[in-house]
Amino acid sequence: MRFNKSNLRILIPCVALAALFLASLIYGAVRIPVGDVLSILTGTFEGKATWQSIVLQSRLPQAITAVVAGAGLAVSGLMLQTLFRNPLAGPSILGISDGANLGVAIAMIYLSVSSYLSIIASAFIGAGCVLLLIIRFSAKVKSNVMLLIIGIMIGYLASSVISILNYRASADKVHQYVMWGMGDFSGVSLDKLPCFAAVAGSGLLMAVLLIKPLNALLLGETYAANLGINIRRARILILFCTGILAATVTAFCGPVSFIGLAVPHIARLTTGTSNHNRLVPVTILTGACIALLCNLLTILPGSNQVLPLGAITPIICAPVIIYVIVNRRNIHYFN
Amino acid sequence: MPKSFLASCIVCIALLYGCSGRGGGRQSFDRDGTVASSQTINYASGFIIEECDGYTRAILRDPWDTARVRRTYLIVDRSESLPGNLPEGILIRTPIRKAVVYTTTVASLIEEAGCIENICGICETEYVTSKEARGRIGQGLIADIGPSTSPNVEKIVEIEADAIIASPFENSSYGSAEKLGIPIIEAADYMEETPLGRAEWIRFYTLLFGKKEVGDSLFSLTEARYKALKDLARSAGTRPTVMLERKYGGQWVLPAGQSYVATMHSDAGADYIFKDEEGRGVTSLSFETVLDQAVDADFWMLKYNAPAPMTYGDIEAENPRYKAFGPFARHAVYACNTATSTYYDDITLHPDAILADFIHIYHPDLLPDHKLKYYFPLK
Amino acid sequence: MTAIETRNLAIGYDRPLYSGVNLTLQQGELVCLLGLNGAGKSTLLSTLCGFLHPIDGSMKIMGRPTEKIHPEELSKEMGIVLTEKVNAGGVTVRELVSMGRYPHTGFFGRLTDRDREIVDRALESVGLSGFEARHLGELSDGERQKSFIAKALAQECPIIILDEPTAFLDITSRMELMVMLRQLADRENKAIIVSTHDLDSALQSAHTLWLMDKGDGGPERYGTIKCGTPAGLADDGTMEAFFSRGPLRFDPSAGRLIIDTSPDNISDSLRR
Repeated sequence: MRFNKSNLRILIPCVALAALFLASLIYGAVRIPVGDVLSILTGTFEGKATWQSIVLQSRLPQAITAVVAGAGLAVSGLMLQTLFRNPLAGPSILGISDGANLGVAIAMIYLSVSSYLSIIASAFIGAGCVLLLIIRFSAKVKSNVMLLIIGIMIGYLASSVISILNYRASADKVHQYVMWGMGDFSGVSLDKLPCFAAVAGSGLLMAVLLIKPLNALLLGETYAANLGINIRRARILILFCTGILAATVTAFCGPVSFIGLAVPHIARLTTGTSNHNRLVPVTILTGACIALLCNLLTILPGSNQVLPLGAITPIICAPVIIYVIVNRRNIHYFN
Repeated sequence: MPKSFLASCIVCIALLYGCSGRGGGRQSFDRDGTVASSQTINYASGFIIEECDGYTRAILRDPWDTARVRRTYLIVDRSESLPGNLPEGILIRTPIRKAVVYTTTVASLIEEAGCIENICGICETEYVTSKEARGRIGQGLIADIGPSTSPNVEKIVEIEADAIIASPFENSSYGSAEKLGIPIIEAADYMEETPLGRAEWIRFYTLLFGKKEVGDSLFSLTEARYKALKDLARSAGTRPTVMLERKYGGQWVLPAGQSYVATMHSDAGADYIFKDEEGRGVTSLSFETVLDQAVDADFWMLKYNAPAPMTYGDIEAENPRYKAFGPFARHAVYACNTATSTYYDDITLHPDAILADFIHIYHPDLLPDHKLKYYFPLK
Repeated sequence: MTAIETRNLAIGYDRPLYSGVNLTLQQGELVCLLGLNGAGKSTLLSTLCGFLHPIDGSMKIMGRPTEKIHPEELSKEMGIVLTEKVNAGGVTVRELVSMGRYPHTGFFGRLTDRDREIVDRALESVGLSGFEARHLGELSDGERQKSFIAKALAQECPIIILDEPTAFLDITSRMELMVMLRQLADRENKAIIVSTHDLDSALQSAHTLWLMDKGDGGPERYGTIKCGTPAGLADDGTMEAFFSRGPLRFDPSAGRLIIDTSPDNISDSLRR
């Protein structure tokens, strides 16, 4: 493989991903020596059973979840930014995450169910309802800006219903909902992981198959139609793919914000291109890296305490957005 | 975090707090020379009661800054005339006739002291469990004042309350309720670190309703029972280890080492696995930390809120990794259903009852005839 | 072959602006579409491109009636260039022109060697051979428009439709563009329609002019479209009638618009 610039741009995120993945297995709230971690991974460990359990059943699924979730959210953000030609679009902007939040709020607060499966199901149902609404509206509303506004309004509606539910609920239930709302990569156990990875993975595959229409849409719908793209079908597929990714991640991990918004920008800045041929794979890799990084940073060094994921993602991602906005004149894809 | 940043945060917070002056907020927590005698408050660190000439002074300490005074109340009986040289403080004419109580736990305390007739309003009456209180609510003798986070001030005016008993938060103000001109009594019992300290607040509350002796005797009873149980537990030969609560969201939220829950378990003759965690409230740890340190605990105690009793199957469904814990495998898990239990009502004045449950669980031979009231083994 | 042929076409949005329109566009012909603002040039072009349904009448593209042509097949017959600046500054010139091959490429848009050759030739035709790696965001308006024309060329369509491509260009770029379009028509047998306000270059480069006049809502409800060669329309007085307003006059002998500032003419216009 030649070490030219473009190959390097794919290679570096791959290496970073491998490094961060390994770091997520080695470094955790409980101090386990590196040698022991490696021997656990290779199956030659003879020590504390809990340590084996921690590495294989806690850290490993958590790292895989972070990789899949980060990739899924990042790609969904990328597709939305292209479809709406708006660099500040993200999976949360269409109200899909708010729909998932509402589903979970209704389940936890109103119906008082809190079993693992019911939370996932309710998040999916909520996100799915909003997604269907958006897709129906997309058939009726031609303008992308209008569709975006409809999505934002739906999001606000969902948020206000959640506020009302919170207002009337007991402190215990509100606390439970708030804790879910902070986002969490550790909630997907080893047995649920294949399901999660499969659904999210199919979303990612769908995104790869949509590279050509996404590129065409960079030029706007008129030019894209003239290049032979079926605009209506492309729009529905993109919305569906985004919705599946956002709904799945939110259902299994709670709302994780900012990654979908910031990672496409990181990918565009590092690859220097708007071509989705290159952008989609780099976004997938970068999203996974950022998610792993945020996951690592939830552990406060030197103490037993852990921070919620929702507190870390803005700290990492918001500076990227600020940088992009401040430097937008020098950034090509903004003009 | 760099030290200078931390220091400037502290300075800012101190400045902000200092600027929100209140009546009595500038005094330091010392006694002055006009005190005739002061009651011995042995356990509660949040208040001091002083008998002065013609009035009783209750000084509430700020739980967040223990060197400062939060409020000073000057208690004068209605039948007596106001003394001439009253110092600074909030005047309360006792007995209080129509009190509005923001929290149901304080309301149930007052009810136990026999003063339910003096409560005319409670927030969130749907959580009131006592039969008599519910009856009075049904008859309209006790009004529902709405959510405790935003009480219905107009209702308070309508029922002509003469005092409000509210739970303070660090930087809270009471909104338009402060403008009503009736005294707001801050019930900071929940911030006490020890079970008996929290129970001792009944002596303060009964003072306001003119039933000081009732309060004192109720507390003495609780004190005696609790101490007896504590001594009993001390005589046990073993100290089993115990782990608490469950994972909430991404973290395992459990009581810190110096919280009163931790104190209770220690008083019951058990060793709380995380007794070395700093703090008086709750702390959040990662699952793997708990697994690493508590996997071989002898007992697991948790609270939940559900319509039906929890089973081992429920716990496993919630997170299959709970199976790895020793107490799960050995079926040594005990849980309290706060939806059906009077735990929260009783913990304030009757921590001894809950302590008895703990002792029975940890050392069955010490209390063989005790019937569990709050914590039950899972099915 | 006749590239575009309309029969009794009625175009408009709600009510027809023009009716009974019969136009033909031949391969190898450069047509300039002229008309005042609001005359309906974009409406006509949208209808010809297939974005707007005609209210009445029929159209044939490369000999096939439009009802029988699938919208996606149209992408191989017609390439378009629009006025507005597209907000895709991160795309490189080469990537943009390569997108012109999309109607001919497979699922992922991968280019074959032949595709790459076509892209190279398209860039050469518009004179942007050295600009391949430049981002659209860093080009001048003229260079950007040329890139879009190169993209339309790479599409290998027999018909190219441009909607006011010179709107934001300076005078040299405008003339360059029109010259290039004329060459495309002549050398590569393309059928080209350009709508423009630039009378000068239109007169000099076009094979045919189509003049659109919305009409003044008088006894004829519909506007008129007059077609002819520049010389022909100048000679038979159509240009004069079309363009003269007040002191503005089309001078057939000079072949351009002149401003007549003699006192008679000014008082004439005042009287009118």
